[in-house]
Amino acid sequence: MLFSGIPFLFYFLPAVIILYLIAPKCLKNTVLLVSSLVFYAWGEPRFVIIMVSSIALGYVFGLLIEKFRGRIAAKIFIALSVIMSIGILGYFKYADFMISNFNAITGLSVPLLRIALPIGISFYTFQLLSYTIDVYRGDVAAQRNPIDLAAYIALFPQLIAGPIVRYSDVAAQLKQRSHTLDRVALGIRRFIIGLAKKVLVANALGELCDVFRSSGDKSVLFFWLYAIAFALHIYFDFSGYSDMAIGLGKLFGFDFIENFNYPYISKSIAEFWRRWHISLGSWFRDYVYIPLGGNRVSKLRWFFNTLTVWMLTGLWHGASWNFVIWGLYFAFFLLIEKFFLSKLLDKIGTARHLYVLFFVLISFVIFNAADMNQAFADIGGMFGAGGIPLVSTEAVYYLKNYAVTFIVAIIGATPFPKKLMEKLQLKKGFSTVLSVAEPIVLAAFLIVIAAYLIDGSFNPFLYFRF
Amino acid sequence: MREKTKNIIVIVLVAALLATFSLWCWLREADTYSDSERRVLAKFPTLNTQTLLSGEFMSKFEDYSLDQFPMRDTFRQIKALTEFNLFLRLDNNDIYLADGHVSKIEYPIKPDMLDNAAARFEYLYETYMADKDMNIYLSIVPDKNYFLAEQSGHLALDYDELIEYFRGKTEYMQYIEVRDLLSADDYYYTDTHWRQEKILDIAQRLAAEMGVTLSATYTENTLEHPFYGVYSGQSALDLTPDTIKYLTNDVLDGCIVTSYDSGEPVIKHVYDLDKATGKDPYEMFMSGNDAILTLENPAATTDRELIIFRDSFGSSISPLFAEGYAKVTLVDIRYVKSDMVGDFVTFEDQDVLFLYSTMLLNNSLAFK
Repeated sequence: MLFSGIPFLFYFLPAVIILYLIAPKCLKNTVLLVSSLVFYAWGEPRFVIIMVSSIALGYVFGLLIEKFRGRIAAKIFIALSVIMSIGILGYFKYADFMISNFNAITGLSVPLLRIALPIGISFYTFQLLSYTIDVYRGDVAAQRNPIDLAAYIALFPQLIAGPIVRYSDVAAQLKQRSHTLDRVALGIRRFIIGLAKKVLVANALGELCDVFRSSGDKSVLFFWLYAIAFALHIYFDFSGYSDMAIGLGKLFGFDFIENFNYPYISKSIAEFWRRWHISLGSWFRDYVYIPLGGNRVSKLRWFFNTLTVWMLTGLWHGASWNFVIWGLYFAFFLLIEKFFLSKLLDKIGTARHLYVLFFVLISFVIFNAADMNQAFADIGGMFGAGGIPLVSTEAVYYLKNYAVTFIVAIIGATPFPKKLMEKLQLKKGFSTVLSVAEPIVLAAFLIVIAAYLIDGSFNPFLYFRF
Repeated sequence: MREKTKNIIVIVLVAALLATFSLWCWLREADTYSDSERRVLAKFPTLNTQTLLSGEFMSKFEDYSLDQFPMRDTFRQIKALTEFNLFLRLDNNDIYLADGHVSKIEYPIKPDMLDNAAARFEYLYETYMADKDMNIYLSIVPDKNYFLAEQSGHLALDYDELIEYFRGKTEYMQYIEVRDLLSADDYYYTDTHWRQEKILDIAQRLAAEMGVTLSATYTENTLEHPFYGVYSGQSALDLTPDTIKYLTNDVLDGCIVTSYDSGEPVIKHVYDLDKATGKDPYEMFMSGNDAILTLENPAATTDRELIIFRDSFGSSISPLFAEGYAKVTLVDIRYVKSDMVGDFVTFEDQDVLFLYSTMLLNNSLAFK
């Protein structure tokens, strides 16, 4: 089920809220768990069993690891837990990738398994891994109540597209959480803003990307429009989802980690990754990079650690070489920034932003390509390869057609609107106007969003495939 | 306003909106048909173990929830207004407004569709006409984007290229150009079709090229029923409806229209006034899109016959040929297979006119 869908907004969510409100405190997590399973089954009825099995394994291993903490058995159980979790993820997500590479290397023709990817498997597997590893490390106590653990893993607001919520961050809230007017209002505000980012901006830019792909009238301008549109699309799509997840979390009394912090204003690639998909970056840092030794090792080893983490980051996004290249591409920039580039960048002032935007733009062209051939063709097209014209009729039309959306998206991707609001809040007259306007604007947003959904077609979130 | 008060208003307002529309969604009786979109709406899907496990129920419920949302047309209008006025879009779902008209972008040229149409025509020619002493004509009617799209800054087909391409594939036909006789105002403002009262000169040109002189005069009749064309509903905007006018005279009053769609001859009307108040009033012309229709003129002073392979543009122009022919046969190969046409039409020495709009040639999958 999609947050940005009529069934969710006008059938599922009101029903869940009512059930949650009337349920006694001891049953609230059960309500959340059952509704989360329904939410998941709505899109993938067959794969509920995979998720439930993964949760059951996590639950049992958590208890066993805690019971045998400090003993060799705990090591065996954590190893088993990690192997089984990654094994399930690997089977569903990477089996065909490995087989096709094996076939390419050996010349054999091992048939592909063609397994459908369970929605959100990368997200909930990483949450389970963080749970069992944290229990092993002694950072958290194992959860004895299977309902609470299952509710944490399957919690529908963040189940299928993150943020990757650590058990340690919500363990206390699984037992005790507050539902204040302020939190609920904040949650509603955040949810509607996220929904608007997705429905009004990301979907429109996604349409433009589709139009580009099917166009026979390519030009340099069109390739650039596509690259910019996709970079903004993926940001508004994914950060919109994260906003909705965080907002829904607040409705039900949870505080989820922030996942984005205006990444396109970054002045270096390293900063970009501190602002983009924060929950994934911190997961890899805490569960892969630091265990490998981090940067407190020899240069060669640090080099290896960095490449490993970024190759895995790329692979996490998809079983395809362009994702691996995409991850390593960022590793390259992070390494050269560390070695020498950041000193040079310091000297060029605000042009640092252009450096980040340019290379991030290129990265997302690689990211969205079907394969590396298409990635090279798209990047080549941005620079006129193949003798394509500078401008085409279609490019000019779509530039005009989406001009306002681009302007809204570009401004919306910066902290400017937020800062402006904060400044206006401080002015007495404006403050009153804003207070009156805010509920009206939110209600208007909801109506306009519903209008777009009713008129629009099925538009799944980009990050569901991960 | 205190923060707490503002938060209460936010919660109450949003909760009220969600609750109202949610209850309305749950409780309202489902509609079966959308007049504005001219389509059947999704019904509540069958709920059983099989449809649940396969995901079929969920998938169909998505369609149901969209189609049956309360005030659906109002919401569609809100979306269209937001697109045009807030995001300054040049089109909404390819629908655009220009020069008082509402139209739909037709772009780009689809060579595979043109090839398909040309292949169908060639099949008809080879099967029924090649070995007969028949004069075969082709005329391509530009859709109204020809007059509106480029001028208003929208994506436009290269009509010269399209027509040249198609003529190159149908060289066995004599081409009759009509674009110079048309303008945007010869089409309905809210619909794709041309106005019958504006195409008398087109009929005369086509007939003249086929060696027939048309000179009849007609009485112009105006339907009182407003005509909301196909683009009116698709645009979701409040548009002023068109008025349908139709031409009559004594010759047409005496003509006999026969449909063969049911397998048996069924008498129909040149102008079906019942359909004029129906879901698509344009269907009043020659009773709509029947596969095979004949229009016989008992008062004809000639025994010449005309066969028109046509789309819906042919419905309103065909009565204007009655004056010059004893019998006009209309064939629509969207509704009858090309290899079955011979079961209904005897090809001998008739004039044959292929009269198609650019829109249909460029989207010819429906040809059978």
